[in-house]
Amino acid sequence: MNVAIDIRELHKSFGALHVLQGIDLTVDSGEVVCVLGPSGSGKSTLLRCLNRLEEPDSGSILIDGAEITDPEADVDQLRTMIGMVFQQFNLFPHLNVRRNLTVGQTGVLRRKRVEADQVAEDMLERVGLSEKIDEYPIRLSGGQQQRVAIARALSMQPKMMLFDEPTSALDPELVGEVLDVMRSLANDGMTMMVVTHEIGFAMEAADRVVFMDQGVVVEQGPPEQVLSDPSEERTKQFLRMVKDH
Amino acid sequence: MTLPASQKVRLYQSAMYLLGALVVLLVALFTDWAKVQRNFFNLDVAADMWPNVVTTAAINTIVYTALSFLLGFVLALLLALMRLSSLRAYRAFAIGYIELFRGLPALITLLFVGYGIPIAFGWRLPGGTLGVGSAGLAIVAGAYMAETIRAGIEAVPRGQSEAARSLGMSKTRTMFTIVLPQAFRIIIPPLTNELVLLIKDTSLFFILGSTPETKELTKFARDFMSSSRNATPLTVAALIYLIITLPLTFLVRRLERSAAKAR
Repeated sequence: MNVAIDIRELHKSFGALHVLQGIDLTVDSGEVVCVLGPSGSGKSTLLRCLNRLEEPDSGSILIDGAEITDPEADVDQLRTMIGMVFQQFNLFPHLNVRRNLTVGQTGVLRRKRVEADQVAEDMLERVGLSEKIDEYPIRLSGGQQQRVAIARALSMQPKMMLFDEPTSALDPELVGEVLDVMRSLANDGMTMMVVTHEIGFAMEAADRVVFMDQGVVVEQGPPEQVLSDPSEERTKQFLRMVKDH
Repeated sequence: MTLPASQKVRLYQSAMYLLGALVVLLVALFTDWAKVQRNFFNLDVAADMWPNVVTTAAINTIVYTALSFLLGFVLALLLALMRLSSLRAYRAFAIGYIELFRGLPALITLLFVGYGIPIAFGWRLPGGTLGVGSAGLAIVAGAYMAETIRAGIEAVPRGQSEAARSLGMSKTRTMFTIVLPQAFRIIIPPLTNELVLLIKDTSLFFILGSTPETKELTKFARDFMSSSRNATPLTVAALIYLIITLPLTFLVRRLERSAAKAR
């Protein structure tokens, strides 16, 4: 199987804070990996290093075989292969939904207007929001905004998708619709790396669960193993805390 | 004897009203209203100003303002981008420029452009009063507006440029298609304020000398005052300034209110 993401010896510090302390991790093509861990464990930073929204201090990251951490790498080009979904959605508020989905296609991929529109319509349909194509983001609920944000990332037809706590900013009753979209993406074979607190989602949708704490990968494996029968004390402790809530 | 608090307040307010009324009464009694009317509100003099005060002077004021604003805005955008550049030299230049021209009286800058450059190089900016004056004011306005634009850019949440960059957009494309359009919405009110300041600053153009065709409102009124030995032209000019500026300040207030609501 192809390796989609290959992370080797990744280090990242913010000042004196050593956030990533030597991460080694691979994600296979078509695999769904959920990254769990307490806040401050470095999981979001890890995700943001993958498309170099954060600059790693050392180590290397290969995206579909190409080293994005190479100083000579065409980062903008590589980023088009990596869709990213943010906790705060980050839709462009001055553009309507259609333009949110086409601005990258026409500007970066140089697609023709007609083609970009067609892709945008297809992706919106995929997240079940076709009727919102002419709305502005502010008119949408949080759950709808996040689904549009997923469609926006998909419109670039990326090879993999990164999700940075995609449901953490949502009201509880809106979490389900976003997870449904992500589940169907996973079923369609999309390569996904998901930083999340949704244990339930990890349990049913993930091929593999990675547990991080204090800048290192503590353990990883199939969800039923890591989530039901963890071998590390820190994982047990974390799961107890999460389940108590 | 002590009064209840509410009565104390009422007593104090009555006393203040009385004092105010007294002052107004004294001013009204000791003012020579006929003189005021003859010198500041003389309809005959005002009629003599017509139509040139509008067709030449007011139009000139508006044209000077518009060109100054336009040039200043382009300059300001450039400076704001330099101010936020990753190149230290660009940042330093922008900071130096902004501090320099915000620290000088606009009149000094106008004199530099209008007289300093011709004296030094034997060359004058093209476009006469319009060209020279607008360039001078634009140099000053650019410094002020650059800070406004920078503040607007910085007010756009980081997540916006992160989302754009994650789609593969370059820094430049991100700035022009995602950040600046949002920044401009934020800064329309302060930019309109800047425009109002510029309208008033065009009154400094008198220093550049003028022909009957290039006079703006203040110069026009001042010359008319000399020839008619009457202050009414100033009143007329003042009224015209207000007719131009008040709707703009009103607009700013409305924009600010609707912007506050949109949040």
